[in-house]
Amino acid sequence: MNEGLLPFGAGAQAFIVGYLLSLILIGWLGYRARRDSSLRDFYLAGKGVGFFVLVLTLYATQYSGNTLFGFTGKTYRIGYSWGMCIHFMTAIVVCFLMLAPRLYARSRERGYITPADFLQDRFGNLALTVVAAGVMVVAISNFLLGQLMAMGRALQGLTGLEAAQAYTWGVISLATIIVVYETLGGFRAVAWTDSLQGGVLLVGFGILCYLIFEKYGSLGEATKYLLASPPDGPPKILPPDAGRIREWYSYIFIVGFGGALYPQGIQRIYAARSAQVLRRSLRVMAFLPLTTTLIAVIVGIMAAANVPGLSNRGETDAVLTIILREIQQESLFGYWLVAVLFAGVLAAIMSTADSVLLSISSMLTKDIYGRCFRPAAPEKELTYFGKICSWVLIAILSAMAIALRDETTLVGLLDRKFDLLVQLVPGFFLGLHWHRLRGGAVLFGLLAGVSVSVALAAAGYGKLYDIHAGLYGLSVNLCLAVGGSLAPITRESANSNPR
Amino acid sequence: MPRSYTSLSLFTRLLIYGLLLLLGVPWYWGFVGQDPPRLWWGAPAWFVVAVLASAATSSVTAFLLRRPWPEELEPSEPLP
Repeated sequence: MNEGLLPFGAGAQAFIVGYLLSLILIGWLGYRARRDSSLRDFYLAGKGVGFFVLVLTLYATQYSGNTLFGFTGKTYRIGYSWGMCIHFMTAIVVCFLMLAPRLYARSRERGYITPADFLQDRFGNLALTVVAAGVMVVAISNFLLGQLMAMGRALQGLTGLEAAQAYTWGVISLATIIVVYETLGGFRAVAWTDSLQGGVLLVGFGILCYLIFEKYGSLGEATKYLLASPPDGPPKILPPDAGRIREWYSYIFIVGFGGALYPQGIQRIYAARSAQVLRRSLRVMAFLPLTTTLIAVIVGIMAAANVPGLSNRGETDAVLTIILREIQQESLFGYWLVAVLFAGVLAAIMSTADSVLLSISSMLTKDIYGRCFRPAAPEKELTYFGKICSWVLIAILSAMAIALRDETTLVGLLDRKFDLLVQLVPGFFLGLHWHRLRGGAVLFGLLAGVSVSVALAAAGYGKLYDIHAGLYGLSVNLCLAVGGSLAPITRESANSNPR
Repeated sequence: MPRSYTSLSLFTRLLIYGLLLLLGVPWYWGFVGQDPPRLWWGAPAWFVVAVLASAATSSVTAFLLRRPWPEELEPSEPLP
């Protein structure tokens, strides 16, 4: 029997199916709104989107299945110390402040579509552009895989099927819906569905906050209960030890810089209708960790106090489903609130997955296929190729998600993604602000940084002395990029002078 | 002409964020040594301070984002 089942009746199931079908309808509206078959129209909605859509698409993209399932599960395991997630989600917006002003202005001047367009424009080094695009594709494919696995887990809670069967059908059906609306409407469909999903997600977090206090009482009671429940309870309340403190700083830096370099996030910078719209959206984004990740931490604490006994990571990542099932069975009101919240859960996962899928498709099309194989291809052909890419990619990753069902956890996946993305810091952050930076040096730094990060992680040192492997890689990376750029200039490196 | 956010010097911005980073990560609570830990609004005091520091970081960031970017004050070319 499926242990994570939320026993929804026909009415609630119809509500959720209706919500999912509305996403396809939005995709069709996006298709109707298209202006032409250009890459810019498909991947960035032509001249861009306004404040309302931008803030909700940024929100829905930034907060994912990890936030709901991974963060509540992690808080369940380690307690209040996971409050570090509030800091690192805020750090992303702080890092945007260093990146967005110049990147946005240049994207408007030069008509960028993918993040690697900036690198090509800045350094004129094709090898760097292609390697950077490859690193981003690998990093966020990992992320997309995590979202597909989260979809499977979410659907385990909806149907009465056996758990493995429900997971498989969950991955296949939701992945199909995403790829259909994305193929129809491109960025417009993704951004518009994100607006709906972001709205549902905000409401969902509000409902979750209400439900959790209504059912379990105050946070103080949960905290006191944990304090009085040795040996597992008190460590979840006490201030973090030295190792955990190092981990806080490590997370803040790696997620702050890595998260600001999400390709889908950078493309949303490009897609802002104006700098003013972008600034207003980021202003709102700065406060959203307090309404989202803080709630996830509180829910995790309430779960640790009231649903004790879960031990392994798989079980704790599913603790939210267990709580929702209890609430749902208590009253009709609770039942319907959980139905809306469940739609919010799906929204969180799908909105991230669709943005990532579109971003990967754009990079494979423009940075790899367009630059390396078909430089003279017409835009219509590239757009068509991008749509095919999306279908192939979603098929491969769905198969992997099904095969890897019990292999890893959401937070584990999150760690590896940032190890790679953070290696792009020199190219983007220094590249925007330091004119002496050279493309060749950035390329060597990037390759070395990725090698160090991957080697450490593969050797079982995903964190060494509680610091992420990616930050060790970044240290080597920065030394090479800066040192190589300060070295005396040769004729060869003169060709990659900054523009 | 409106002032851009860079009118607050880089040093000042780094100093503010650095102080908030020091305050927000609860390394110093080991020296305070409360047993049992004090609770504020139902949560451990160290956690509440960390959340407040995060809120302050958000507020500073939002304040800086109220001011136009230097690139806005020198309008860029429109897209072709």
